[in-house]
Amino acid sequence: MSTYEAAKAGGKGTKADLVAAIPNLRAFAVSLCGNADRADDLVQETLVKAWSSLASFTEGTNLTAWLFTILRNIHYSDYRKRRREAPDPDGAIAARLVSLPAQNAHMDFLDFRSALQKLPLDQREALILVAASGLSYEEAASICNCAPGTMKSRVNRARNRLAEVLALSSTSDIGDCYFIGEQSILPRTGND
Amino acid sequence: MVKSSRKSTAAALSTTETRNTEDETTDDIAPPPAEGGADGLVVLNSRRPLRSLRSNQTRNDVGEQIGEQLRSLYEDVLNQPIPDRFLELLNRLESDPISPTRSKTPGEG
Repeated sequence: MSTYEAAKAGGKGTKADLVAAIPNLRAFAVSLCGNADRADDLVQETLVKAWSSLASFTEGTNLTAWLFTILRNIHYSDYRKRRREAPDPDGAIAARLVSLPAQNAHMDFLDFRSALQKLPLDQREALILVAASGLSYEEAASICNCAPGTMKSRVNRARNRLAEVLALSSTSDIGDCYFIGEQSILPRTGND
Repeated sequence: MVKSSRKSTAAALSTTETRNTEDETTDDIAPPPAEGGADGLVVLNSRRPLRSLRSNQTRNDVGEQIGEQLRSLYEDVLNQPIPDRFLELLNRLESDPISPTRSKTPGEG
């Protein structure tokens, strides 16, 4: 009997449950890593790993949260590995080279995505889990293996940080350039 | 100088800084060091206005926009059809009893 059959026989997660969770997994992954291709690779790895671990899924608990935990762990593991191997682990430098529309007086989508990806990873995932995935602080904290209070402060920091960056961006003149920390935030091309 | 009428950039920044209850990131939005080092917020072009940063209205707007943009990004993907590759993957896993041994993905760690 395969792991899956065992899990199924035990009334645990089924293939249909996994399929149903895929849209959430993809949305989480894209928000987390900011790259659609990488996100789908993450989802694929997550499904494979989840499949082989279905027996360890506790029935009655949140399957999506369980899958998020797996995806997050894979992402962190890769992140650490890439950081050892490459100087530009999650495309920070490459992201800075992206030309953004410079004429907007409001926060646009690229601004937001760029700013989101420049948040520290722990703040980014906290914000996504709570503000976009609709998980409770407790669920999010469980996924990130931290205390709910820590989760709350990460979400607050993420919100404040984004508000800072985007408020600056929304009032900036063409050609402005901001640096926060060591990273250039929302580089302006100033080409028109 | 943060006191009253003088609405300098530094004042605007420190106003927002107080909203940061946590420690780690406050350094990043501190007033720029004189020499414009990498640790501070460096404004290369000083002519842009920062007024809106002082406005609660704008801050709330930005807060709302953050939520909207975040949900928009998330739900865009959420509402996409499931790519075939995942359905095929699960079918493959289902029909392959030795699939667990094939999962060499780095996982919890």
